[in-house]
Amino acid sequence: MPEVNPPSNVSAPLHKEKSSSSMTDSLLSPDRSAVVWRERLKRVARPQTLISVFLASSAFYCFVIGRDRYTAVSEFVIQQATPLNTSAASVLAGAAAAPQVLTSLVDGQYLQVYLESSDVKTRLFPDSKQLEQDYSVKFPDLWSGLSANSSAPQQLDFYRKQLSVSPQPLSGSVILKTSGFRPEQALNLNNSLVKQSRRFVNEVNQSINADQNKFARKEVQLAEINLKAATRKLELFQEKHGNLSAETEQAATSSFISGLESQLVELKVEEAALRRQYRDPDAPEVSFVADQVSELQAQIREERKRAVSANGRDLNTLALEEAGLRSDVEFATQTLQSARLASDNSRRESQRQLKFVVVLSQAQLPVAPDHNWRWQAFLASVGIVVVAWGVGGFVLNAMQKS
Amino acid sequence: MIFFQRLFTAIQRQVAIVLAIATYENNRKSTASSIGAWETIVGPLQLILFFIGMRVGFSLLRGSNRFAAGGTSDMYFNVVMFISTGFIMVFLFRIVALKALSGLKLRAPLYYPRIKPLDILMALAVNDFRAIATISLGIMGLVWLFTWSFQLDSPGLAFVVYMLTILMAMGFGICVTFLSNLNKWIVRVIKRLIARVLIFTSGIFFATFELPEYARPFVTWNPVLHSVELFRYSINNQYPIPDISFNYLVCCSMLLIGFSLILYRTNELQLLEANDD
Repeated sequence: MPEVNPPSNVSAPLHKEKSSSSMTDSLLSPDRSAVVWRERLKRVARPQTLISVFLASSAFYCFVIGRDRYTAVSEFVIQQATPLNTSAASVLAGAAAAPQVLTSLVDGQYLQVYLESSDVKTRLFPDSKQLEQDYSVKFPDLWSGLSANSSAPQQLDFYRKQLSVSPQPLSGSVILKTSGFRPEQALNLNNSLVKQSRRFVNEVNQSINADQNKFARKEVQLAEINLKAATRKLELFQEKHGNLSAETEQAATSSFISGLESQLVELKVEEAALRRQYRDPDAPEVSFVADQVSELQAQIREERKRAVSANGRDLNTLALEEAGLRSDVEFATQTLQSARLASDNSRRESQRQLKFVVVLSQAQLPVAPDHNWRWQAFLASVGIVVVAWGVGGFVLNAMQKS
Repeated sequence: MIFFQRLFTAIQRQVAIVLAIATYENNRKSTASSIGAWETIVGPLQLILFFIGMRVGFSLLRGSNRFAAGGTSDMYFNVVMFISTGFIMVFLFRIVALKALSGLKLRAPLYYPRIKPLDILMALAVNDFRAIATISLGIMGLVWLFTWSFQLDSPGLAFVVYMLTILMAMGFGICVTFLSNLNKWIVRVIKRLIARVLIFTSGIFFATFELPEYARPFVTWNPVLHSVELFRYSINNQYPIPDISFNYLVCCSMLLIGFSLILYRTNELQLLEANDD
């Protein structure tokens, strides 16, 4: 049945009257208005509405008001001038016998920590106000950017978000991605970070090489001092005992005693022959030779005693002492030779093992904004809703049922 | 405009049906077990914990040499996180695909003709997704809590990969269901294949980059490996994924779900089973 509408001129005052009465009612009864508002809120606060609002606001931010972000990518490798031998390892780590790729990977990992450090941030942005200005928050996107009067940890956190350093374990190269709100910002940051990487690798290399060389030179000096001391001791020993060499003297004494002994043997033979020749053993010819033999024996005993006794020349002890001193000199000489060789090797190796940052792909000025973050953020919002629905639903249901 | 309105209403109705079936199935399962609906997560959780234990044991035996050829996965992930990310994706695929193979029936009379086998499969997938998502969120939360390092570099990619895996599992399940109608032996063989081959080629225990280059083609045919590795990559963007392609995963998922829907559309009657027995 069609509804009959009253004429508008009649309904207007009626409507006015009605609305004025409802206004009076609402003014007079606050309880009723609270109920109305509660009902409205209940209608709005339904899960479907809340989810829709959340997703819509996420989409609105991600695709409408979110500021453009530009990405610059470069790739480089920390390479040695010549291939490593087996004993050489990373310039920064102690992994022995590591292959070239792994050495570069380890260097890349150190570089990653270094580039994300506060030190590099301070080098690149010495003035924190300038950093705040460069990356300031701009309307309508009040979410991204660095707010004015931000604290140092906030600035460092923001700086770290602007770069991503990824060492590649398969190739050993390092991929450096930087982002910015303007194309130049991303490119400049990338180039500055590559410069910092070069500086880092060279500085560490040079300081390690300088330390190694310094150590080797110190060793040479020490060996020289030791050699001088050992030689001086030997000289003093020789001066004290008034001989050139105790060993030579010992040898001379030995040969002298040997000569006497051989003479003794000859005389004994002669004495035996004379005893057979003469019947009287006290014959003057026999006595003469026998006396010579006994004298010679006494002389040999005396010579032996003089050579080894403490009261005599004590050649054995002197020879031992001298041998010790000589071996000290010899050892010091060999040590000096080795130290000189090591120093020379260290100098040459440090030149040979110098590392360089070889840029494989230079960063280019981005020509278009990177939309990846928009999709990532929006899909993350969808994911949050789906996972919350899935997990929340499951847990609530399980709790109810159990 | 009217078309879109009708489409939206139809989708809303279908979603309501699927959710109702999911609730029904969940209720039925929770009454069948002494621990209620928690039963759904206890089984996979046991297996995950067993394999995490194995992996940790092997790591201890091997020693902590991170500088083996090409480095190892523990440079990028905590071992628990590594294994559980693999299991989450493989289990999602395995459970959904095996459910389709086990027969799409509700163990109750289908009084309502609007409930189709596809709705049942989707409802089962929803339940499985909820259970696995609960497990994954729990494990990730615990790991993040203990290590105090929250990391999810590409949440959008993680979500997309998760959804693509569900789609792929559903597509694979439907295709295989039609195949299994030909011969019961095929069902057995496929079940075994899914259970064994999938576990050992899906990268649960290894990372693709840990394999030598000549060995990679033997495993990269498996799209589940791509979803596992991409999921890990989405958590940590520094994780290397050689020979892993997002496009390959998208192609496999779309081809499987598309082909399965065509099959389903033309042979729906074959899937209708008597549920009143």
